[in-house]
Order: sequence, then C-alpha cells, then structure tokens
Amino acid sequence: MMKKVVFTLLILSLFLVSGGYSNCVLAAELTAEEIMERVDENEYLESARMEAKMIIEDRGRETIKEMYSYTKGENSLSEFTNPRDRGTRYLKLGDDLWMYFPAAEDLVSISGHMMREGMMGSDFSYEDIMESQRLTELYNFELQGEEVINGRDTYVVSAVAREDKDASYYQRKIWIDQERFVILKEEYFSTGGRLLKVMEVKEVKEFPGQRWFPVEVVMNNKLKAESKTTLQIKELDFDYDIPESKISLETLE
Amino acid sequence: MKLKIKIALYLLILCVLLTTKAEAIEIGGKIEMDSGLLYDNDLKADFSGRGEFELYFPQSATVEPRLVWQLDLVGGALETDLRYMYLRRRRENGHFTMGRQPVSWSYGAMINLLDYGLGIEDLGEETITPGIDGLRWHRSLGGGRNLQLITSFPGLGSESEDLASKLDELGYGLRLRLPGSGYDLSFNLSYQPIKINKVDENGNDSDFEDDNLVRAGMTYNRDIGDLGSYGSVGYFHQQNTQEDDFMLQLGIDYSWIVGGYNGYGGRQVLLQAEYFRFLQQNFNAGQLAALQIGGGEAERNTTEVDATEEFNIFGGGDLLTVNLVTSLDYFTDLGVVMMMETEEQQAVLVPYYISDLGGGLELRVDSRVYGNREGDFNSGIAAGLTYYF
Repeated sequence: MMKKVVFTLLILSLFLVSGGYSNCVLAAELTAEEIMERVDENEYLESARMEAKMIIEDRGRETIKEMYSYTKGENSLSEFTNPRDRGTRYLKLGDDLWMYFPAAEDLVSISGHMMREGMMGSDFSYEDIMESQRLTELYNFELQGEEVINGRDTYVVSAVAREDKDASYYQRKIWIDQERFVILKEEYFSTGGRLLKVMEVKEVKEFPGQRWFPVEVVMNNKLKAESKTTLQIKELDFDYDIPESKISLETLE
Repeated sequence: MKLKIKIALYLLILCVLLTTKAEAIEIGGKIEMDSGLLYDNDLKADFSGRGEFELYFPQSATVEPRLVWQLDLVGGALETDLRYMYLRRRRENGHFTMGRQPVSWSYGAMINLLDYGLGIEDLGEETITPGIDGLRWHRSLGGGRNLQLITSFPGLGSESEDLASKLDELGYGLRLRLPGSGYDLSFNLSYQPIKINKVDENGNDSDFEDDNLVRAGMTYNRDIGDLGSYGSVGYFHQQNTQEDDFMLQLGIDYSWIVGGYNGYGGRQVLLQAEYFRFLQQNFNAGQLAALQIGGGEAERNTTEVDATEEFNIFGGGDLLTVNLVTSLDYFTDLGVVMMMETEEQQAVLVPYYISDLGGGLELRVDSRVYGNREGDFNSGIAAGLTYYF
C-alpha cells in the first residue's frame, strides 16, 4: 500500500515538473501569441543600424565576412567591408532584392529563386538575413512547454506558417527566454516536418531601455554536414534615425 | 602630353587628399598571378601578373573621389596605369562625375552589347568594365528611376601628342532606367567614335579607320515565377560604312538544389543561359568587344589562353552561352561555360574551379577546349592566384 502511495506521489511530482503542469501554468499566465508579441517588441527592428561579422566554417576551413546594415521596417541595406567583398551591397525593398557591384558601380536585380540560397556562401539564406516581418504576422503559435537552455528558463513555442503568408519556413520550434523575451534557440522545419536548420544564440546583450537582443548567433544547416555560420553583432543602434532616402535605389546609384 | 594629363589628374587627386583627413584613408585591392599553357599545334606557356590598388576615402556628403590604379606585369616589364580616377559631386537629386570612371548599364546578361563601355563577362568571372574618360550626369527621377547622360573623350587615352585632337572626338550616351517591383527596364542610346582595324591583303593589321557607332536599344530583367528572365533588343548603325543591324538577346537564370530535401540543403546548382543574334549578321560581338570606345580599355590584361578562343567565337552571328555552376562547399565553386556559335559551327568549353583558400587568397583554375567545323582545335589550361587585401 505504502509503495502504491509513493509511486502515485512520484508520478504526480513528475507531472508537476513536466510540460503538462507547465502548460497549465503558462497558459494561465501568457498565451503563445502574447509571448511572441513580447518577442517581436524586443527583436523586431523598426529602424536600426548594425555592424556585424559573419564567420563561415566548413570542414575545418573558415572565412570571415564583415558588414554593416541599415534596417527600416521591411527594407534594408547591407554593405560588406571585408577585403574580398568590399563595397558589395544588398538592398532589399519589400520582396525585391538588388545587388550592387562596386567595381562596375552598377546594381542588378537578383532573381527571386536566389532568396533561399546561402548569402555570401553562408548557412544564412538571403531570406534569413533579410526577414523583416514580425513573426506574429507570419505564423500561428502554440505553447508547448518550457525547458532550460544554457541555464535560462525558456518557453517552448511551435510556430506554423499562416496559409496566406509567404514565410521563409513552414514550421519553427522556438525557445524563448522567460525573463528577457529573447529567442535563445530555433529549429526550422519543412512542410514535411524535416529539420532544416538550427539557430542557437550564444550571447545576448542588454541595450538601453531594458531591451535584450542576441549578439552572437550560430546557424547550422542540418542538411549540410560539418558547416556552421556564426553571426556576431559588434554594434547595434536601435531607433537609429535613417533618412528616408538611405535605403533606396537612389543611394546605390 | 599624355604624361601632362596624368600629372594634372594626379595633382587633382592630391588636392583632394590634402583636404581630407589623412588618418581616415585606407588602401585596398588585389594582386593576381596567372599562368597558362595553350596547345595550338604547339605548346605555348604564358604568365601574367597584375595588381590593383584603391584608396578608400572617408565618406563625404558632397564630393566623392575614387582612385584605382594598377600594375601590370607584361613581358617581364611592369606597367602602371589608372583604372579609375574621378571626382563625383553629389546633389539631392543625383550626381555629376568627372574623370575616368566605370559606366555600366548592366541587367544581368553575360554579354551586354548595349552597355556604354561594352562590358563582357570574363567567362565565369567578374564583368570587365572599362574605364570611360568623360563626364557623367546622373539624375534621379524618383522610385529608383533615373536618367544618365554621358560625354566621353575616348582620345584621352591615346598616344597622340596633340591635346586638341585628343578632345576632338566625343562619345555620347543616354540611359533611362525604369525599375519597378519585380522588374528592371532600361532604354539605352549611345553614339561613339570607333577605330576599325584594317587588314591588308596578307591578313595583317595595317591601319585604323575612323567611324562612328550608334547603338539604341532596350534591356529588361523580370522574374517569371521562380525563373529569372532577361533580354535586350537593339539597333546598331555604323555611320561611314552605313552598315546597320538589329540584335536580339534572350536569357534565363535558374537555381535549384541537388540532394538535400525539398529545396533546402544539398548542393546549389545555378544555370544561366543566353542567346543572341544579329539578324542580318553585319555585326558581331567579337568586333564590338575589340573596339576602343572608352579610353581605358588598355587596362584589360588577360593570358593568351583566355584571349584566343573568346574572340574567335564572338565573331559569329548567333551565339548561345551557358554557364552552369555548383558549390562544392561554402568555399569552392565548380562550373562550366559553354559557348556555341552557328555560322562557323564553333564551340568553346570552359570548365572552371574557384576556391577561397582563406586569408584573402583565392585560387582559380580553368581549362579551355575550342573546336570548329574545319577541324581546328586548341586547348589550354590556366591557373591564377588572387590575394585580396
């Protein structure tokens, strides 16, 4: 009899610390949608300037790309500054992508089929780097539970692309820091449920206004063996005052 | 006089340098070494070296200078020349540029015969944009639309001692570019003095004959679903000889993933194919590419292996060019360019391999196999190492 009571208590305690309990509690506190709205508030860049370094590694070889970028809503302008690509610029205007060639001082429209390809040969696609819509505009969410990532308590949220939206990935699994509302890990899936990429945040930083933002991110394309790309943000200015004309075709001409 | 012009231009740049914060100027560029082996009945070896250096000036809201010069190792001797040297004055609605400058009217094609500088992609490499000595006015019309007006002085690069004769012949260009969401449309017009190479009875180059070339045309670039498409139509007219012709070009580009899963991962393969034809076959791309129209064409340095088949095959009326390239990994591309010409039934196959070795070093190996219906055949292999700094 005593054994039965102990066993029941054990099962109950396991349930309490497991996702089942967490779901009940979390659902009572914040919905998945509300969590993701908080994430968007934190991570969506309304108008920002960023300096970053991209370290691409594959089978023991490494190459480094450096760039700065301006983002304003769904438009962005990125310029590479490392010697090999110095002056090469990408301009995203809505769904259109333009590339500027510094040697010829001319820009060419990039075909839509290139958007899924690795940007500058990295694990980040053009879509990954230039995704500019709020996640809450693109996906429906469901709270799955909570887990601990690198010592931080996280919400685990699954996201499925809305039917009427052209999202980069059909499905995502997202780990969100419960205190800072910053994404710590993401898995990207195809429509068939296959794991395509994993993104892990190695470092987050607090910016003025108690705003946390990831400053070192590692992207790993699971369909390519032994490769990974690290994106390090060296400088980030939120609410940077970008003139209307800065992110435009005129700037590149 | 050529020296005097160069000195004057150097002084101009010096003035800019002296009025700029010296600590903010950076230097960058690349050093290339190429060697080649060509088999054309007998074996020829070839070696060339080239350095390109650019000063990066601090950003200025109004005046932007650009200075790029290069060193060429030709036949064991070093030669130096300016690739680009200009001053650009920016205004709210455009800019004005004076000096030797790149003028590129690209739309994604590998062979662009409506480009003011006649830039031709170097078979799987970057597009070669010759420097244009001249003045360019760029006027923004809003929404990315713009109008460019160019006046060039192609004689400035000549060996003539007389400045008046250098400035005697002028070229003119006009481009109206109308990009929109998902497309890019341009109307180009150019009028340029050209020198035509005359050939004597023995087939040797004897002299140059002056003429003027008019080119008018339209280029476009547009996505059709996942397929990128581009093309151009053009009218070409040579003033003295009264020869004219219409040119039609169509091209596509597409990429897909081999292996991987459902469009992700795996190996990316990129295909670009384009076809052009001069309807009456009065002109050809080889003849146009060889023209000295900008004043800065001498900067192009290429191994004999590169040059031989390129100009043979551009000499035909119809030309189909296909570039198929895949990434072996994040650092290495393997590709092949195929060019087929119908008039003399010539074909060139150019497999190439480009690898980022790290530390700013890039290795390029390409080989070329050329053949035609007469049974002429030659082949070659070239390797180059580029250091970017």
